[in-house]
Amino acid sequence: MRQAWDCDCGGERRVPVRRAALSGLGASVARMREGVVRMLGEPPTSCPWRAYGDPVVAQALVLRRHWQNGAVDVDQQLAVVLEAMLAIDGAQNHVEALDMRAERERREAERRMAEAQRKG
Amino acid sequence: MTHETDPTKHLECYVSFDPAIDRAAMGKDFDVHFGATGERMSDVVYGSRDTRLLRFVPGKRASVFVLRPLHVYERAQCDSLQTAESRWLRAISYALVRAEVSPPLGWKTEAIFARENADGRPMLDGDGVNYISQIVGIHAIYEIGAVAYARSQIGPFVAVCAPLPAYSMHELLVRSRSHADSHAASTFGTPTTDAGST
Repeated sequence: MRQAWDCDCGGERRVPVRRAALSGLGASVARMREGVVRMLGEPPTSCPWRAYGDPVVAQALVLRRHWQNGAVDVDQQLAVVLEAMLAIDGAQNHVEALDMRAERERREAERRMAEAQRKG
Repeated sequence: MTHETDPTKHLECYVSFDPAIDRAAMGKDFDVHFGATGERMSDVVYGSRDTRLLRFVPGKRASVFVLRPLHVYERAQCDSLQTAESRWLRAISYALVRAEVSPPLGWKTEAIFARENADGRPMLDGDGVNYISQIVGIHAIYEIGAVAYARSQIGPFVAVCAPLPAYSMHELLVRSRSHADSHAASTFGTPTTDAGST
């Protein structure tokens, strides 16, 4: 699974399984990677689990929790951590907006289908 | 790894053109450590600044600069400045904790510590930056400052010797000196040979 993400965590050699796999796990990961690129504009450089081990990401998530509680003096934070937190916020907002749009389109399609069945 | 592993910690930083660094012995690791520029943006290789990759010339000691990460208000101060050089100079004045300069990069051996600010954080004033630049040269200060500034942002390091903008006064000065040197060589009657004229 991690090899399919083209990630070298766990000491494995980087093996681009996703490029060779046309079906199964490799293909599903490839679809997820494409989805990430489509939504966020950049391909992931590691598997999702490794991202949580990144010290900047870890500190940004902690800062985000304190930020949501309103207990943060912004000026005293590390610039790179604040920037990472804003990037995480932006990515989440973007994904949520896409999800909401997809949900709205699905409901619209269902409504049209129901109307068509009623008329027919 | 093509970028620094933890930009939230202190970093020991070396100058890419320090003669004490054995570029030949490092081989490809030189570009991995310091990064490399290219003609296209896609050719740019970012530096990891991983000190394990460094190789030194036997008997010579490289100058080392210890940088701390910038805080939000410090980064805002840097961003408010107009030119890249002024940002790098401001960044190094905030970020430099300790500098151990020595020949061959500097002309003397000295350990320089930044004085603690009112908030308890070390900060180098303008005189301190000038003093270090007199020992190691302004190019080294720009390179270290560029690293200090770049590691306050998301993403990998900027390329080695972060390229100065073309309008930069420093860049224009270096170019004018270069032209002057080439002009001086012909003025003093340096014989030029033309392969086709004999």
